[in-house]
Amino acid sequence: MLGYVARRVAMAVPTIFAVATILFFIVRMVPGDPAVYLLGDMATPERVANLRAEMGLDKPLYQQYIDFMLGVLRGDFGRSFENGMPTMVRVLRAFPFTFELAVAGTLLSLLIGIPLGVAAAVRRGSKIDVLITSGTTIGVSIPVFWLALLLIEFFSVRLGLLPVTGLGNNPIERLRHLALPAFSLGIGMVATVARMTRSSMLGVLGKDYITAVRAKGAPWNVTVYKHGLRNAIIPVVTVVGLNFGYLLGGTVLVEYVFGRPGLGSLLIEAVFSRDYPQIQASVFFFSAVFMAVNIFVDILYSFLNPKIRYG
Amino acid sequence: MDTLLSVRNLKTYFRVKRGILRAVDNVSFDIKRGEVFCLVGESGCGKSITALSIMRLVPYPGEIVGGEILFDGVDLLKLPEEEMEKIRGKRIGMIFQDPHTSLDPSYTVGWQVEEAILLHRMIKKVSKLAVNLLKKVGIPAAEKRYREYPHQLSGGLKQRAMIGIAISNSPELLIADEPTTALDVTIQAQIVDLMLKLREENGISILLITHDMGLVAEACDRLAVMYAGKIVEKGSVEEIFSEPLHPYTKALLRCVPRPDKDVEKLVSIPGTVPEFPPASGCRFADRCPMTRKECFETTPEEVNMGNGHRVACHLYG
Ligand SMILES: Nc1ncnc2c1ncn2[C@@H]1O[C@H](COP(=O)(O)OP(=O)(O)OP(=O)(O)O)[C@@H](O)[C@H]1O
Ligand SMILES: [Mg+2]
Repeated sequence: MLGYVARRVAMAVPTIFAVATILFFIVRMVPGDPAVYLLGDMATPERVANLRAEMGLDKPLYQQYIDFMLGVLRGDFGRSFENGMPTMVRVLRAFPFTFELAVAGTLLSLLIGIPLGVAAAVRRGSKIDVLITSGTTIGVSIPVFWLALLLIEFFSVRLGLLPVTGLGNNPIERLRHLALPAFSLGIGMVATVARMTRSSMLGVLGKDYITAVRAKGAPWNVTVYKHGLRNAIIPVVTVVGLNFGYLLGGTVLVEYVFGRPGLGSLLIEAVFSRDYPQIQASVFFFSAVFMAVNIFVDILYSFLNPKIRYG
Repeated sequence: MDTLLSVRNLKTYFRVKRGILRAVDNVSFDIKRGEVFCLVGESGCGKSITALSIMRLVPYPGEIVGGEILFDGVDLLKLPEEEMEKIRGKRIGMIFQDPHTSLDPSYTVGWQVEEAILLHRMIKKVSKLAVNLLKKVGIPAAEKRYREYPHQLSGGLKQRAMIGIAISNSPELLIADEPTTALDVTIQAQIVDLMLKLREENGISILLITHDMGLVAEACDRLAVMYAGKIVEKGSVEEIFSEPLHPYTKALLRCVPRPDKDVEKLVSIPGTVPEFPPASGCRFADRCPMTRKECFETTPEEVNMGNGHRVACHLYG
């Protein structure tokens, strides 16, 4: 097991460096000059040139690239053009908010999606099944920002039930502030989870061991949960885990719409101000987390599946 | 010996797209206490569906549409589901064809044996009981196996564990649906011996489903031969093996593989079991070497040939 994890991590290292390289060049392909942005259009060419030198942007591109990569190797992602703070520190301060949002979105999608999927599978072919199956088809195709605006309009503006922006300063307030963003983020996943659960469950319920459990005298609902769901959940968890990375990506939009602090807001701000080091650090961190999650999911999968754990 | 199970005019149909599939059509047979009763016939003739009908576990879209299943005098088809749950696993145990797929891969073998016990009895020291059961069905190193997952056991050991589960509450009837088909030949013999030993020790009745006529000759007391959802002949093993009456039974017995020749079991009967046989006439007619006009027109009635030997064929009408 440990050897396996080590191998996976080792395999991730080249990917991370490829990501860093691509990132470096893409960031510099975006039109707009960071120095001009900071100083404003009216700045004299002389001041702009000075600032560019200060930022290291006057060096040849290959030299910048080498500096950047050496920095990455040392874990140094430079300082923000915007406020001179170490970029990674800003990332690490913002990340908990994003993580909280992504976890809440995931939990919500599991909490809603799994029961829907089970209900559809158990009453296969019934009206409930048709409703859930078609409902989730719509669910996967709703654009996140559109849904977010719709939710804000309904729950915050019309009903005044839930706050739109901010974080809240006590646990209950915090959850209330989390509700709409988490829902907007998780809704696409609810659909995925429900459909995965349904098909996985249908597969499992057709297995011989389900009949065998019934032949032991187990009631239908016990069989469905103890044996059906227990086995059907494995692929669902895997898919949810693998999607967690994409969900993290989705937080960028959701944080922006709801004005929440976090990695996404930090990134968008950095893109607007052409804050190269900050963009690089944020995206690099996003990809590292994405890969870490995938490795973690693999481990979790093997943990849920005794065949792999002891195989 | 008195009758333990009496299946009468059982009808189990599947509503499929192409029509109504009469998987079990008017099937009747009795199983006495302490006997091994065999149900034989080709693949697809309705053996498993008959067994699952007795358990009331017919898979969707199948449905029991008629008949009675009297178990110890009580019609199982009339019981509410909760009452049926008290009979499954407690008074009737069942084992299946493929031991590799009959155990839940997510739980240990011991857990699954305990589940079977705890579904029917409140017992504190259940793990000890479970280990003893595994010992009883001949699983070596039972304490170790108890903690293992199904995929760590061989097919033979899994089938032993399944038998342990099926007999965990000392049932009166054990339904074994082709319990040896998926196993190696040497293991097959061991599993059969184990079942016969249980019958010997506990006086349990066994409904043994198989298409292995060699196994029938070795293990069973009485048998019923099934063809396309109907029973065509039934009687004691001695009667039927010495004087098979129905052309299908004769063909089946000719197909018994002999040690000196390496013959595949059922290939020598030309044709296959029809899925949607005509509503009237004998279902075997289009494969039968001895048909007459009436075979295609009227369904043969069961005729009593004495000694409990019954056959449904126009040759004896
Ligand atoms: N789930 C199902 N849906 C539709 N038809 C089914 C289903 N299960 C069984 N049948 C039909 O019922 C008939 C009897 O099947 P059954 O499984 O009882 O055969 P069997 O005698 O046990 O054969 P085998 O020796 O292959 O196990 C077959 O014609 C089959 O097509
Ligand atoms: Mg079968």
